[in-house]
Amino acid sequence: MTALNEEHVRLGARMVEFAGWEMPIQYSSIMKEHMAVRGSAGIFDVSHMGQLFLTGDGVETLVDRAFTNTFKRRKPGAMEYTHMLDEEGRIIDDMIGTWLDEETFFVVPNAATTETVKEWLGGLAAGAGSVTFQHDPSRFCIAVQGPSSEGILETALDIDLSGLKFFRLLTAEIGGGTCFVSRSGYTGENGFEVYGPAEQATTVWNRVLEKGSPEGMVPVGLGARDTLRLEKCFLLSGQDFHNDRTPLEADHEWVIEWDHDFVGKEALERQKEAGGYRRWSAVLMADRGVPRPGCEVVIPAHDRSPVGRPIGEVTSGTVSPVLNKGIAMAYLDEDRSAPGTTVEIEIRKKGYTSSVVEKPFVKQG
Amino acid sequence: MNIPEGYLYTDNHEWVLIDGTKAKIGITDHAQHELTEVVYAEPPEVGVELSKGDMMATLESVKATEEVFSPVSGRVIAVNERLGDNPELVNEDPYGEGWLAEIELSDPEEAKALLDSAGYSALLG
Repeated sequence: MTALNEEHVRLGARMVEFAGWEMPIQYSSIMKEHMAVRGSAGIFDVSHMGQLFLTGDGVETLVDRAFTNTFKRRKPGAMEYTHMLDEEGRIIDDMIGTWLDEETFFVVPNAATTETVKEWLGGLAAGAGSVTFQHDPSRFCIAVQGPSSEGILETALDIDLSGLKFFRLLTAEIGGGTCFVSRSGYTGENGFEVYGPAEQATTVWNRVLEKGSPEGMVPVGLGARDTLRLEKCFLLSGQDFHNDRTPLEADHEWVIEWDHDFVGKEALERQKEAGGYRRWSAVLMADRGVPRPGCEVVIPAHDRSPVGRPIGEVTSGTVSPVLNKGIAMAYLDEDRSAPGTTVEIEIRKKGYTSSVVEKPFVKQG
Repeated sequence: MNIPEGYLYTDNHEWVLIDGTKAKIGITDHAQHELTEVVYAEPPEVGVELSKGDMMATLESVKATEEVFSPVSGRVIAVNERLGDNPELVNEDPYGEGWLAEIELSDPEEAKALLDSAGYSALLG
């Protein structure tokens, strides 16, 4: 369990097991928590995410080889979202990394894949030179997200965030411990993530919640974390890919820096050249409905082509609290993945009219 | 947990409100709490003949899909159309505005097998 387990229980959270962690799925209601983040602010315990610190003279080479994106060692605190691929170009995990200073690289893999990522990087490090891994699972990460999050966090932690740009990280002394604060998150709203040692977890959590509550901030569980990221079309590791899809299929070519050599590059080049692969696309249902992972996407009834032919598969879906309609992310045949295409999602053997739309489902503001 | 008197219950957490030969059906407060917020409700079609135990409705929360089985046999004579746009009524008022369907009973004797509020309360422990 995380350092904040007692706080969750005190707040009446419904707890679930997730990747070996006991995590809050919801405190009050997924809908209310979701709308609080879109309208004012929410606070999340995401301490289950891994926090790896890499040091040694081989780190720069390792990082360059392991990730699709590139990281500027001489620009500490600049964060990048990246994919980590196997030799076939399939995504092992997605994560955010940053050089904390010229010596230390900090990377945050997903909870269920942290050990895999550690092992994979360890394997690659063997050919890169000296690399030391530090991983303390007791460390906390608290996300503070939403339009009111900046003011709340500044007051609660007595910190100036006005100079902190998007996807930048700073180091701050909070409650007697060294913490990192970054402008980042998984909700698509202006927001922050605070990382630090377990001892500071409850101090940060309670200070922020105390300052935020009068402004409508609520604690938010994994349930709303999922609906929030889905409205913004963010990938979920283990669900939208599990070492079976490439960044090209996931429609994430923007995380690939083609002008460096990384594991999986040749496979991606071949795939890009050949084309004809399914693309991860946003599908909006005409009505309410809950598309679940595994639901088939098929050719709609009015189409001249063979009706009912499968053209894709849903990997994530929910009812969007903002749009009040069913939304799904699905890998669709290339020729059916363009926004504007009409498709049907099959739920319990019934076809529901839907259309491929531009990502994300919910735009800013 | 709210378990009102006057309703009959199943061990599958549905309630039945009998009025002569008609029965209104819904899910209990306990069931809606366990399911969490209902975001989609699919009631049966009016006119459908159901036997006791037949799948009657589907309720979905963000995380789970719950199938509701008919606690009695008969023909569906009304469904709660409001659930289409307001599925959360199942959570907000499970014994009232959140009802699912009304059935014309083909075998009113079946009601004898259902639990009263005390029996259902004991089941929940």
